[in-house]
Amino acid sequence: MTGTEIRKTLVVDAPPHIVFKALTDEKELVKWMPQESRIDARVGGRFEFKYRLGERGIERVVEGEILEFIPDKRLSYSFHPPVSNDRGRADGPPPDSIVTWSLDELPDGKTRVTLVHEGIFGIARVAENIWDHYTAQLAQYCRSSSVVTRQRETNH
Amino acid sequence: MKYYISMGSSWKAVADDSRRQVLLLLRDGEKTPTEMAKSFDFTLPALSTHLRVLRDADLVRERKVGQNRFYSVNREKMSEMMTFFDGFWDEKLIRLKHHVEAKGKGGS
Repeated sequence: MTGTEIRKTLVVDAPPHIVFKALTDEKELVKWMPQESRIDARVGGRFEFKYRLGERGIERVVEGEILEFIPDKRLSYSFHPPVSNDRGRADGPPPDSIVTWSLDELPDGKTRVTLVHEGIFGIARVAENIWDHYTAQLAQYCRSSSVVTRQRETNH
Repeated sequence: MKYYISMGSSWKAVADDSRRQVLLLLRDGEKTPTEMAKSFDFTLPALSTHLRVLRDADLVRERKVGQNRFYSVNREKMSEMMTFFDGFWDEKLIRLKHHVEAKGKGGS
């Protein structure tokens, strides 16, 4: 546990598709994570998890948006309490904490599960994440536009 | 169980975009509200409300020097919240392991 990131790894005796289903299926999720779950399992889909914590069953709601959805391999979502400010969510992505699950297939039908929860206070890493996102988009844009440029060069 | 209650107030305190911006700004070091207001569209009264919520949740500390109040991030409280999530995920991962392993053996 360093800074604002939590990273955990464990090996489970089940294949990746079973683990991925447990991470993304409403009926499966409630068997091990929240007490109630609603999830629109696709990139850009939203979810809401209700937890009852501790002996007194204090209810906490966590919601977020799915950022990456690669079946049987990787799942990433923003993870935050319901947004309660006056401006709602209209201002674009708030600096949320981000939860990422990575699944690696191992021999004998096992899976290595890696969990990373970062930016818990929305104060570190998140700015970097946003810039990673934009720099990746920029790189993609540059690549595709340089392809176009090269095509033009060869065409003329 | 007091732990969950105190965690709830810090979790709620950071559920607001503006307050997270305040924390982000204080990351570089302590500042007075006047200094902070320059970086935001907030009015001073709005800013002081956010600072009060953050201070009540023990996420920021206040230091008075003469007429000035300096605010800084409470790193200990933050590490407490990290500890909370650390334990939270430990428990959930064990449950996930039991669930998928039972499921796999059940020949789903």
